[in-house]
Amino acid sequence: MRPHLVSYDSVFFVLFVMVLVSGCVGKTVLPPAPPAETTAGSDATPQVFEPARPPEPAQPGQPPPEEIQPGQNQPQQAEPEPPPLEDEETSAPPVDSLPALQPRLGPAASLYHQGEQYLQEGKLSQAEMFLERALRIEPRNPYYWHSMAKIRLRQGKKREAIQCCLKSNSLASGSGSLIRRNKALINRAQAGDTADSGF
Amino acid sequence: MKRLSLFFLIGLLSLALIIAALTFYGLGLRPEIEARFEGQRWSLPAIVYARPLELYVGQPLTPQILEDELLLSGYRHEKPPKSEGSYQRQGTVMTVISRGFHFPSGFEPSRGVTITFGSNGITAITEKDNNEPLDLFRLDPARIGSFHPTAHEDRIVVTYEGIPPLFVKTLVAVEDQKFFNHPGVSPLAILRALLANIRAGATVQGGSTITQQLVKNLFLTNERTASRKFREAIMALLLDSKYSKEEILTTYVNEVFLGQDGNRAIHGFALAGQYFFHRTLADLSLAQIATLVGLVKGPSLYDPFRHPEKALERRHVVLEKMAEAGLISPEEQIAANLEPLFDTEVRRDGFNRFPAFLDLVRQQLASQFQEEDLKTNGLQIMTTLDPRIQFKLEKNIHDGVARLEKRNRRGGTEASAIITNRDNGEVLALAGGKDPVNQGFNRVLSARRQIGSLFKPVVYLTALENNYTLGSPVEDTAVNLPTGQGIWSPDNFDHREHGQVALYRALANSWNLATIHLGMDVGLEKIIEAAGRLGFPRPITPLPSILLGAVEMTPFEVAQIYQTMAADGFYTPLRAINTVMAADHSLLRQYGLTVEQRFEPATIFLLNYGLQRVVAEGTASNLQRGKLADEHLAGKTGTTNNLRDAWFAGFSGDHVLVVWVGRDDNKPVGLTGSSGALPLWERIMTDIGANPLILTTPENILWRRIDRITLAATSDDSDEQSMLLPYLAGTEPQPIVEEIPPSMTAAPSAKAMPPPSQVKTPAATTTPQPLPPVQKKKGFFDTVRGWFQ
Repeated sequence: MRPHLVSYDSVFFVLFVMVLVSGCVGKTVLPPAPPAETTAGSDATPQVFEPARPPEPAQPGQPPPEEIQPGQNQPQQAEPEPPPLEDEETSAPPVDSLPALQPRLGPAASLYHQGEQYLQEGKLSQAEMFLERALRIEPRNPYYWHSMAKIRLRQGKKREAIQCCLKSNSLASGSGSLIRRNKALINRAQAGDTADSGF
Repeated sequence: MKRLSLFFLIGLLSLALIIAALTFYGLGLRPEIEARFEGQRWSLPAIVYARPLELYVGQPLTPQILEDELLLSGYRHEKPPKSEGSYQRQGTVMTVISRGFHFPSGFEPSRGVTITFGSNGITAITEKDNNEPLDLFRLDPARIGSFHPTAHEDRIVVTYEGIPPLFVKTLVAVEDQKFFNHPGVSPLAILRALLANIRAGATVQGGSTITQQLVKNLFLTNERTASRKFREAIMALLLDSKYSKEEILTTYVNEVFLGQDGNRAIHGFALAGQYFFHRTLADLSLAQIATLVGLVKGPSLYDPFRHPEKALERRHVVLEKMAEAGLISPEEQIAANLEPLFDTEVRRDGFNRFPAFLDLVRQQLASQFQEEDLKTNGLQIMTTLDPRIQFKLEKNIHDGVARLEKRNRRGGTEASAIITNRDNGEVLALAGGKDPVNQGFNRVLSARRQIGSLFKPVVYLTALENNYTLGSPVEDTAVNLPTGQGIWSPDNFDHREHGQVALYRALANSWNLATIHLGMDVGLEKIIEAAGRLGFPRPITPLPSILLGAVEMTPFEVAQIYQTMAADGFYTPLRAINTVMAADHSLLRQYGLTVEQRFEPATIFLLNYGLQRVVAEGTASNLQRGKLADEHLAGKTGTTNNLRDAWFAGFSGDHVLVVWVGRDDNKPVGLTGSSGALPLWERIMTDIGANPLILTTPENILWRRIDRITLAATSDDSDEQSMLLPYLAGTEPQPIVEEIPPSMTAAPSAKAMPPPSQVKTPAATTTPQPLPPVQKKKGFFDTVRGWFQ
């Protein structure tokens, strides 16, 4: 057979084959699988088209792990669950005996209710975000500050819980039932690990 | 035959050699390609967001404010609104379709709402589709900036699924018709281009495939040499062999350069869609797709903003190609050709408009994140910036300085200011100088200047903690204090002595001599300690001159101190960041609202009452003649030696605002706190809106009348002869003996009251009373606890 003029395309086909060969050198996969599969299926190659990875918390320059709030949907497994406020039987008067709280709520009421709901469900990070929103809209509502105190206590931040109670009290003029609840919460926080409470 | 087989052998050998060489070459390139493709494709700068605007019934908002906010966030006006990111304003009713957004608390989908405004703000919010009432709703936040790596590349990254099929087809039809069939390079296209170029005698046509263009953008420089072309072809082949067409196209869609916005390079079609049309890719019209795809050929030549007629021409060509490829019908082509270039008035959004605020964000992030993380990891930073307040602050600072310079007939005046939320310490806005955009030096964060009389409230607060009352007599008489450099004999601003005055009047009128008497009696160490509790982070040398404000602070530091006063004695670190999310929207850090009671509520109440007197009758009484007269504002003027610095720091029911006016070279600016800083403060406060400052009166506060001259308790109730002042229970002037509720007596401070007789004794008129030793050995938190026992 007479060698005929090689077409432009076939030169590139050869090139293409070489490239394929070079692409497979060093790989254990034999024979070369189709390109897409080689990349996607091979264990040796990391996942190709992953979106940018969130930085690992342990990387330098990232907040230390303990600073990271639990993800919004994770239940608070590790959290030592303090008994609910209603079971309080320490030095404070039993909360059962306190008159029911009838919060004065403004435009952020729905956020407050939602936050309280998350608190009940133990979704503390979520609860905190909702109460922060509520406090941004009604920054001087003592009931919201009391809620925030409950969240802090459940987060194990006793000192901050007490401070939120004090803030609540400073705005609670005339609301005896709220002030008593704040007092009960402060007592509870103090009855806990005082090393953390700052008192 | 032998010859032939020899030739054949030599040919085969050389071919094998070439293959080996090329394989070797390709091997050398592989790591570069893989590194770029398999790790993080781009350095994604951290994106910074403003606070999301909360809309609720009763919120004092106007349609104009809402519209400004929407435009800032890149919303578009559309009649009627049809898709995400559009709004329509019809008189007092606005319809908004928000954009879905991943908040730290979870994804909130797009929502259509109708908002009705009354004279006092929002009167109703309803769902657009079913008219269900909503009591609360928040918009997706405006993107206000990013931390660019040096290249200043900006992009919004989309996945293949996020690209509309028509867009993909148009791109392929225009840029590379054989994209889905060729192996990365298209020899025929190259040949065709080569022939065309030879015929024309110049480079008129490029044979680059989409893959080659991508390679060129990602890996190569812009030089036009044969070796680069060769390298480009090899890399394109490699890329094509290793990755799917979809992956390559997606990368191209995200990578391609499409325009320049100042020093920000617009990369990728998603960002270009947002930048030019305020729309997501899925939301683009046929004509808009054609405009964007047409841009690839020449981003600056066909820039729709700068060269609209060229952009239209190019769009016409692209539409023609779309029709040729059968992507659109002739009717669609005609309709699209008739569409205007922009279907909505596109205004400049708020991107990177707030460099001063971004400085603060960067500074506050620095303790937790490294600069590199901010530039590459695609972090999403939710800040506290209120764009509406920021704009008003910038404008008022800019215009206010111009007015001062005109009045003063001298240039070189600078100013800076910061606004925070009264109760949660969130920084809402800051102005680093009179020119908000082209600022270099951020005076709010970096300019440490003497604060003058802004320091006095610290002195008076310490005095009030140490048994002084607002009615305590203080001597405003000449002082001569020995210092290291000789005798220090300061003077009042009006060069007069006022004799025995009530403590609150000395504060209200900012009398220096009285303040020095008071401060020396209370003790410098206690005052410095109080400054620390208020939130000043650095040590202060205990010299008498600090009593008159020979302490250098930045406006930011001043704001921190006044924040603690405004928030009833609760310290909250000023913060510009609420949360930081990773690129996948998971929560990395929640900064969290914290409060810490640093002062007894009653003491702070008394100080704040005194600061209200500054406005009511003292150095800031100009405010009583303006629009803010009824808001019971509290604040303090500050002026430094030779009129170098003019300050005003104060607060309303919801905001703390600190204003500084001076010169960068520290030469006299010729203005006092009340003539220079106060007018700016007043305009800003008026413009952003002030709720009245209503101090919560602690239960252990009693109100008593005292004689204006003798400062003793009186039964006279005329305002000429007497005045009403608040007192901490137990420190009120006698003889009116009140029955103090038992709960109040538990507070140790009540025990520390001065004997009533001392207030009235003539001795009290010469020197401030040496008061009984403080019995507060129990500590502050015991005191607080005591109230609850």
